[in-house]
Amino acid sequence: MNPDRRLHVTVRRERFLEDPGGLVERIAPLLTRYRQITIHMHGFKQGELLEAIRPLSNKNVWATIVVYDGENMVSEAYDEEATVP
Amino acid sequence: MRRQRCRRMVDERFDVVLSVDRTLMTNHHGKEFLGFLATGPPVMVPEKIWMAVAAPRMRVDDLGRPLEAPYGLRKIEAALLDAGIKAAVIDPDYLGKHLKNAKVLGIGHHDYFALGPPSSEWWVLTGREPVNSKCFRKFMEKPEVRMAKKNGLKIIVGGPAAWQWLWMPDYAEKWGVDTVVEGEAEKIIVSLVQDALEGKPLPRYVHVGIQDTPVLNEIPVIKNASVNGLVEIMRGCPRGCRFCSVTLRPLRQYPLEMVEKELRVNKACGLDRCLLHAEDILLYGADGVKPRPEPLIRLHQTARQFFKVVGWSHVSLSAVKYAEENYSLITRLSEIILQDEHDYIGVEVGIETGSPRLAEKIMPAKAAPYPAGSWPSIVKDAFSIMHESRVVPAATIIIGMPDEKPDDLVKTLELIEELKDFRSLIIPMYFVPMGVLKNGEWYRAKPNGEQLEVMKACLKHDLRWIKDLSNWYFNKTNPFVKISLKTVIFLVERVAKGFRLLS
Repeated sequence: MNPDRRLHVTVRRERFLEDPGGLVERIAPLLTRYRQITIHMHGFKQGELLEAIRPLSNKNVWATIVVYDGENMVSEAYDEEATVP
Repeated sequence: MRRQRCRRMVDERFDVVLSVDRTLMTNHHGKEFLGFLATGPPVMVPEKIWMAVAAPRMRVDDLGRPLEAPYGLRKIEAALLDAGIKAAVIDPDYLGKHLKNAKVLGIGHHDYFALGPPSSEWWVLTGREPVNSKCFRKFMEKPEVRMAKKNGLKIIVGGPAAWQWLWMPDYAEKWGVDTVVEGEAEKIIVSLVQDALEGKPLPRYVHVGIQDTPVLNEIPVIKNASVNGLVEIMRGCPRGCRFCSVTLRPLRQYPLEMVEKELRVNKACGLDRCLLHAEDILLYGADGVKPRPEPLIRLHQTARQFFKVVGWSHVSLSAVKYAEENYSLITRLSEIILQDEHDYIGVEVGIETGSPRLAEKIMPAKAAPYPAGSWPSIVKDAFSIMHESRVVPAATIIIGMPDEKPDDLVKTLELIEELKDFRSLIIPMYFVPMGVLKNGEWYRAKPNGEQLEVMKACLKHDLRWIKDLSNWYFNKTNPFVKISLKTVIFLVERVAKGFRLLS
């Protein structure tokens, strides 16, 4: 794991619904490569959001994961950007 | 002048209020073991009496701050106070006046929704909701909490049971929980709370990763007393059992000076006892998983300087065997701790299984430095050592593990039988696979025949020892608790006899 790298991930509900397993599948390999992963989930209700990230809590996760709902954008500098699924 | 000073104190406002429902904001009459009752539904007595025995109200000051509070909340309080944030732990009965002004309510819990052991087991067996989740629901639905939420209060939840919110997302939505924090929060809580106080958006979920987990010098020293004088001496566990989350955390050992500071805090707050807490007390200062006498003796001598009553939270059975066989260390430590020849020390231990096959598979390092295949004999040796040294284990057995076979349960039954002459309690924990939770039918996952036999064997073992132990354990407890519990034990015994569980 690179101690300084931070990843920003954008998740859109409509695309997530097409492939609900895609989010965790796509993020899982990244969990060991970044110190922090910030996820912005657009269009999710709070309950849906927590349910969508539930599989992450069963994994042996070393990175810090911070999940916002899409309306709450914070402006921070990230090393990389990704959109999933 | 004096009155003015008192008035100022009573009017003190806090930006951050930390609290939890009554099942955790209590000192269980100074008997931690009674806390187990708060994880179940009332048995054979009305709920009011059950709660009065398991979770009595705490003594509070003029502001409603409890004299003792759960250690986890005390650590968060300390982290916020160190950062200059006005924070306080408040008793749940005194939230009203503080939530009018507070901007953040922080909650930490061991079992928000009674999904963890042993609550889930009680629920499965009785079909009734345990008092801890009922109390928590009432806490969240208190008018003062609802009103404050309407007025913009931010709610941050965490603690060992934070994962449960991911399984109960509708409640997070219903009660307006803003952020769920999973993991050790002392390092990240300050920036999270500062964001809340400044009106910045909060994340819905934070998983605290390895680099944001506090290292030793980032763990604050508690500022106020913890429940029953609990002080942590280590965090994490090196044994890597597959069913345990503690094992994922890095191992950190508090220096003796840090332990001493927290002992002093509890002493200064008027407590008369301490409870040393670690996943395995005997690994304090150890060489890997091999206990060493010097650090342990110094730790216990230090604790005894402050308190007459010194308790242990957990030890591992392999460490008990190693420590005694190599250094007579259990004998030596019990001589430091025990006050007289009629005294005992209680401690939680994990048997988990009597099957060498399952032990090798799910907890290969629990037996270390001995081979996992010899697990049943390690358990017997450790129980024998503890019996001789007047240490009373409250042991857990996990049933319903993935890949558990009937033969594993038979081996567990045989082991329980072999432990019958050792003073102890054995508590079966029913493993509830989270996958089953998903369809909402987990409470129908009733134990099978062999699992029921293990549960009955535990009950038989416990009823054999409980009378002897209750005379000691409740020796200095108030008469109401003593009479209530003796009544429950009597009734359970009668029912067990009725079902021919006891010969």
